[in-house]
This record gives sequence, structure tokens and C-alpha cells, in this order.
Amino acid sequence: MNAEDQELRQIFLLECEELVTLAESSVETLRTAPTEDAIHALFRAVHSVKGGAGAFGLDRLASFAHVFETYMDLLRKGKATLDDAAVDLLFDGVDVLRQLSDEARDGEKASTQRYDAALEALRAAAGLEDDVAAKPPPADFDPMAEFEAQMAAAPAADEAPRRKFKIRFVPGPKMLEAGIDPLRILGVLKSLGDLQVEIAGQLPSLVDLDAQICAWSWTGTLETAAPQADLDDVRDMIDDLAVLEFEGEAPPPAPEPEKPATAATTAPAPKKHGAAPIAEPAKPRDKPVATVRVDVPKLERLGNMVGELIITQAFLARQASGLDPEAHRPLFRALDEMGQHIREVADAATSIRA
Amino acid sequence: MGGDAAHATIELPATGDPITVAALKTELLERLAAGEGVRLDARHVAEPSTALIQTIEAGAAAFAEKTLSFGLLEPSDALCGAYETLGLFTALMSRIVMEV
Repeated sequence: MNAEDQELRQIFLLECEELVTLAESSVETLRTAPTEDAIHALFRAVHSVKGGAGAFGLDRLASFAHVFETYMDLLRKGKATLDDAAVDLLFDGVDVLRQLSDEARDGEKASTQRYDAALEALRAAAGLEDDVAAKPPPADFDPMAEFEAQMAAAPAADEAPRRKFKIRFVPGPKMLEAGIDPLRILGVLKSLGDLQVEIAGQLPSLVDLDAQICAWSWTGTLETAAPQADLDDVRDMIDDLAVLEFEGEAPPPAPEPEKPATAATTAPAPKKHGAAPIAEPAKPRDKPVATVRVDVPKLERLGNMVGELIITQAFLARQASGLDPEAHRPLFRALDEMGQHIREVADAATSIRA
Repeated sequence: MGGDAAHATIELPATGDPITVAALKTELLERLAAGEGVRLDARHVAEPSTALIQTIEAGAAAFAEKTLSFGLLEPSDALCGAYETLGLFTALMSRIVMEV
């Protein structure tokens, strides 16, 4: 592993610690006052750990997170019961995630006793056979076929109110290789309602083209009456192979909040044609640092996206490592710059969440 | 599309799987090297894929760069639908050629 990969791995391990802390906090919430949000937050945290661990070759962590995530998926879909025993299992699972994360950071293999026990318990709870994860898919495996059939069989939701989402779909480099074709994902979204997309991205030249890596991405809108679960299912199908975001239609603007009491003591600004009073802008030197309120889930999403960037950067660096740096100087320069930018974004995101 | 007189016809595969897509890329590169324009007979495409359409589009750009002709003949409904789903319907329209 070169120095840059090593640095990215360290950034991921820091991110991983934060994700495990977030997972612990979510499990604590599930014990005291269970909410769907806490279940989803825990699922996302474990999912992100799995994706990053896989990208950096942390196999034990990735395998464990995979089984953990499978169980969490049952919980969030209501296919498993969240009782005291389940919460105990989640605590054990998060403890082992912490242990594996520490192990990856310190390079000292921890005791396997807790790992084995928690893994076995999670596998049993998730209904996984012992060797499910190890079995390679058959050569003609088409992971999309069953999913498309399932989505086509879903009952129509014509009576439900239609919602309009902004969507962003960015396939990752391994998506096609995994048998998930962006065309078919867009086809499934289209089957859910009115899909309007714009394509972006530059194809490599024909000589350089690796058609099994999608060079395109899409933004647009989806107007649909489909239940949230259908959208979640599409995202689950993609797993960590792509970024697929549904951004809900912005609600109507909220009424202006009342001015804080202190505002009444300041001199009123002159009125213009009956418009509401506008506070006189403060002079720059008097202006405090501007702050905005941001929902915690949005910050979590930012963190997750940064994690995805780091993973993709690691993948690209690994792919490029087999090339001749002299012959591909512009590529390596761009990779260096991208790595620098990603590190800056990661630092900024971490400071926001601190 | 360029104004070359000679062109070859390549039949697009029914299914855009990795093997047939790789074969298409090879064939396009050979025609490009030979300085020949191409017509892609697209009437039998039943299961298009992103990889297939990426190859067609990269091919279109490569042939245009060398001012060689490049066109799609009678694209199947499946291929037209795939172009439309990907947001490339305008590109498709510019590729369709009529057989003379």
C-alpha cells in the first residue's frame, strides 16, 4: 500500500470510529426510546462501515458488518422484532465492530471469542446460512431479474398522493461488474412514476473505454405515488455500488420567525413602500460568525458521502497503481489533486460534525 | 457523420452482455483503423445495456473525430427505449440513418 492509500485508510478508520460511536448512540436510543430514525441511523452506520472496510481490504470488519447489516435490514423492514434480546444483540454487534475497528487501526488481532459469538448470533438472527457469504454467485447470476419482477409485482399506488423528488444517481466503478446495470435501475425508477433525467459525464475515447465501468451519472426528477419502501428497495438493491439520492420536494417557505427580543431595541430600518422592516446589516467587523441550523441526518449524509468519496478515491488509486506514471502523468496529477481535495473535504466535514 | 463513401455494416448483438460488447468495440476499432465508416444494424437489439450504449456512443465520437460516417440502422424499440431511459434520446435521433 502506498503512502496515499495508507493515508486514505487512516481517514477511513477515523471515520469508522465515528460511525461506530454513532451506532452505539443509536443502539442506546433503541434501548431507551426506540424510533425508526434510530434504526435507520444504525443501518446506515453499519452499511458505511461495510463499504469502507471492503474497499480497504479489511475483510473481517467487512464480513461482520455485512451480516450485521443484513440483520438490521430485517429490523428496519419490520421482519424481525426489536425486543430486549435484539437490543442486546445489537450492543454485542456494535462492540465487535469497535473491536474490529481498533484491530484494523492498531494492527493487533483481538480475541476472536466475542467476534465468533456475535457473528454466530447475528447470522442466526438474520437467517443466514453459515456459508452464504462465501458462496460465489453462479455464472449466469442476474441480480436484477428478481428485483425487477418484485418491483413490477408491487401493487400500484394510484390513490396515494404523488410526491416529487429530485434524484441524483452516480454509479460507482464496480456497479456493472456486480451485474447491476444503471439502465435497469433507471428503468425500475421509471416504472414507479414520471422520471425525467439528464445525463452527465464524459465517455473516454473508444480506445480507452472500459464499457463495464459506467462513465455517466444522472440528475433529474421522479414524480411518484410509490411508497417510501419502494424507493428504499431500489437503494438497497444498489447497496454501496452507486450513489442514489432522493431529495424530497422542498416544503413551502415557513413563515418568518419572530425577531428575537433584542431586535426590538435596535433602531428600525427605514421602511420602503410598506415592506416589512429590514434590519440594518451589521458592519463586517461587528458581524459574528454566521451559523445555520442543519438537521443531524443531513450532516450524517454529508459524512457518508465523504466516506464514499474516500472509498472511490482508494479504488481509483488502486486501479492506477498498475499504470506507468510517466505515460499517464496527467492522470496521476489529477489523482493527486483529487486526493488533496478529498482530504480537505473530509477534514471540513469532520470539523462540522465535531 | 462524415462524408466517406465506403462503409461497413455491423450487426449489433441482441444482448448487450460484456462479451458481445467487447467484440463490438474491437470491430469498431478495426473499422476505424481501416478508415471505413460504419452502419450499425440495430434492428435485433432486444436486451440493450449501459455498456452497449456507452460503446456505441464512444464509437460515434471516435468516427466523428475522423470524419467517418457512423449511423444506426432501424434501431429496435428496446434500443430506442434504452436511449430514452438514459436521457440520450436526442443523441439517438442524430445517429439514425436510412438505408439507401
